[in-house]
Amino acid sequence: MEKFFISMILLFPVCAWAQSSSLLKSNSSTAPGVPSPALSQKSAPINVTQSQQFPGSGGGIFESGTLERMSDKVFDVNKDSFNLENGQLHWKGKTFDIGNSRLVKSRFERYLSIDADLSEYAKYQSILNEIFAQLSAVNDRLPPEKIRYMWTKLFDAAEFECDGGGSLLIANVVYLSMRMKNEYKFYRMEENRKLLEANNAKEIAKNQAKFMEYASDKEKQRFSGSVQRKAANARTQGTTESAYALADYQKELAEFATATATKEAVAMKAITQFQSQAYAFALSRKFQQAQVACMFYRHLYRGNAQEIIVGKDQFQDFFKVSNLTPTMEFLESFAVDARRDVRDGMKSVESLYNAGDRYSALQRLMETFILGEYDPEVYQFDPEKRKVLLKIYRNAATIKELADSKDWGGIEEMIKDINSMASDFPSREILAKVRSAQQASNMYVTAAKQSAALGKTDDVAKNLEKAAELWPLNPEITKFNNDLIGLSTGMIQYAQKFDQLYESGNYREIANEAPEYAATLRNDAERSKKLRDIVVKIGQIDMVLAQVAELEKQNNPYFAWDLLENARQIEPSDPVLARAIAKLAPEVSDYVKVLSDAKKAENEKKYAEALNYYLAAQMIFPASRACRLGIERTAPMYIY
Amino acid sequence: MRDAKTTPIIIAVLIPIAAVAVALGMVYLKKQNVSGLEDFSYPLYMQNPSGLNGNKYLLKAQLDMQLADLGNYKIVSVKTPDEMSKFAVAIPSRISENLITRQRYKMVVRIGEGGQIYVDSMEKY
Repeated sequence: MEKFFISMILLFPVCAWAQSSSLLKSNSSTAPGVPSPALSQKSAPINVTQSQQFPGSGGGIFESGTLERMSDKVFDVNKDSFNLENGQLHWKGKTFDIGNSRLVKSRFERYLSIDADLSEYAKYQSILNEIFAQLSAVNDRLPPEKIRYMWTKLFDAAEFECDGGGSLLIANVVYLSMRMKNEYKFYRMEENRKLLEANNAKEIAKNQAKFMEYASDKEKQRFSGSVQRKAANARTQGTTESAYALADYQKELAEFATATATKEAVAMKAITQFQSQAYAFALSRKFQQAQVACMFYRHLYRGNAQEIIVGKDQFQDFFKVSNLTPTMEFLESFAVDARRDVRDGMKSVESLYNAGDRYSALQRLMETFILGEYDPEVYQFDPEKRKVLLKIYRNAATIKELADSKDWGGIEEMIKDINSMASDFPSREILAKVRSAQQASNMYVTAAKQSAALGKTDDVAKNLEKAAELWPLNPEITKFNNDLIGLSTGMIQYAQKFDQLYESGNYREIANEAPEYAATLRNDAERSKKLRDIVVKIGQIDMVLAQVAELEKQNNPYFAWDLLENARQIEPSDPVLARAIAKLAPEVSDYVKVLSDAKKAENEKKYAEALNYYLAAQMIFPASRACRLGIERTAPMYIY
Repeated sequence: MRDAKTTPIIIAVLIPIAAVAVALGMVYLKKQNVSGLEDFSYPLYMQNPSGLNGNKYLLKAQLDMQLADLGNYKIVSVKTPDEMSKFAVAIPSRISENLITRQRYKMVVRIGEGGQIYVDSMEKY
C-alpha cells in the first residue's frame, strides 16, 4: 500500500512536480540538459519523504527546530500518514477514515474559501468553557440539577455555526440518558415489587408446605398400626393448594427475573447509546464533542459503567495497545490530546503566516485541518488569511496542471505570483527544472533552424518534434513555424519578383533587397549568381556616386562627370546613376556636348572628327579619362 | 560727244570707287599668306570638318604632342596660337623628323575626305 505523508495531500501539485523532476534527472542521461517526455507524466504514487521533495529546505520544510517540534506534535512525518487509496489517516498509531484525498482536498478548499462569521466565536467558546469547567473531574459529585443546567447549555452552544451541531447531538444522548435513568428507576421499583411478590408467594408456599407436613404428622400418630392401614388413611387435603402456592411463587420469581432483566436492559441501552455517540465523535475527529460527551458521561454514569462496552474490540484495535481496558476516561484523554495537537498546529500556522512563511503555513494548516477539521480552533482561523492561503493553494495546484501540460512559461508566471505572497515557496528548485526544460527545447529549435538553413527538412521536423515534446508551447517553435511558412511563401514570391526586376533591368531594386533575396534564393544557383553580379555592379556604382558627391563638394564637376561616365559603363540603366548624371549635366554641358559629338563621330567611324572632338573636350577637362581613352582609340584610326 | 560738264563728275565718282577698290584689294592681299593660301579657321573646320574636303590652308600652330605614329604619318595634336583650341594633324614622316614640341610652325594643310588635316609642308616661325 502506497502512502503519501500528510503534507503530500496539500502539496500534491508540487510533489508531483518534484516527482517529475526526479524523472527528469533519470532521463537526462540520454541527452544532457534535455528533459525527457516523461517529465509531464502523471505522478505515480510513490513513497516520498519531506526532505526528498524539498531538497532546498534542509531537513524538511520546517524552518526551525522549534517549529519542527511543534509540528511534530501534530504530525510525525516519519510515522503519521494519509492513505490515498482508502482515505485513512494514521495519527499517533490511530487510524481515521476521512475519505479519499479528492474529498479531503475539496473540503479543505471549501474551508479556505468560506467566509466564517467569527463575531460570535468568543460567546461560543465561553459557553463551552463553562461546560468544561463545571464538568471537569474536580467536580466529582455534581448534583443532577447542575448536570441538567449544563445540558441546557449544550443547546445554547448548538446555536452557533462553528459548533456544527455537535452540541445538539451530545444534548440528545444526555437527554436520552437522563430519560433512561428515570425509566431505570421505574423498572427498579417494579423489580422490587416483583421481588416482594415473589417473596410473598414463596412464604405462602412455604406455609402451605409446613401445614401439610404438620397435618401429615398428625395423621401418622392417629393411625398407628400396619402399613396398609396408614396408606389407606393418608391425608390429601391441602395438596392442591400447596401446588398452586408453589406455582404462584414460580410465577412471581419469573416476573421478578423479567423485571430485573428489563431494568438492566434499560441501563445498558442508555450506556451503549451514549458510548456509541462518544465513540462516533472520536472516530469522526470531532474531538471537542467527544470530550464534552465523555465529561457528561462521567457524571451521568459513575463507577463500573466507565468501561467501554460498545465496540470494545474495535476500540482496542483503534489504540493498538495490548491488554488495554477501554474506558470513557481513556477516550476523553485521547480527545483532549488530539485537541491539544490541533491547538498547537494552529499556533504554528499563525506563527508561520505572520512571519511571512505562508507556504509553510499552508502546509501546517492542511496537516492540522486533516486532524482537526471539525475543531473550533481550525474554524476560527482568520478568513482573510485563509483566502491568501487559498490563492497560494490554487496557484500550487495550477503549477501542477501546468507542469502536466509542460507549460513552462505559465509556471514561471505562476511562481512569480506565488512568490509575491509566499516568500518561502520552493520556487528555485522548480524554476531550475523549468529553465532546464526550456533550454533543452530551445536547443532543439536552434538545431531545427540550422537544419532548415542546410535544407534538411527531415531533421527540421525531428528537431521540432523533440522541441515540442519538451515544451509544447515554446514561443520559439511558433516563431520558427511562422518563419518557415513565411520563408516558403517568400521564396516563391521573391523568385518571381527577382525575375521581373531582372527582366526589366531594375537592378537597383534588387540590390536594395539583396539580403532578402540572398536568403530566399540561396538554394537557386542561377538566380544567386545573377544576384551576386547585380550586387557587385550596384556596389561599384554606389562607390562612384559617393566619389562624385565628394568631387561636387570640391567644385570639380568635370572630374565627377568623368566618374559618372565610367559608372555608366558598369550599368547604364541604373536609375540612381541616371539621376546623378542628369543633375550634373548642366554644370558640364560644354564638355558633355563636345564629348558627345566625339562619341557620335567615333560611332560613325569618323575617327578624325572624333579625335578632334576628344581633343577639344580635353581642352575643357585636361584630366578627362574619357578623352584620353577616346584619343588613344581614335588617334591610330585617324587615317582610314 | 560727251558733255564737258559730265566728265568731271564721272571722274569725281570713279576716284572714290577706285580708292575703295584699291583698299579692298589691299585688304584681300593682306589676308593672303606668302604661299597665297587662306588661313585655317578652326571654328569653320569644327562646324563641318568633312565639308572642307580638298581645301588647302595655311595653318599657324604650336605642336602639342604626338598622338600616334602610323608609320608614314604621325598624328600630332596642335594648338592654335591663342592656345584656345587643339586638334590633330597628320604629318608625313618625311617632314616630321625634327618636330619640336611647343614649337610654332607654319603649315600648309589639306583637308582630307574624312576631315583629316594633312600637313603638306611646314616651317618654323
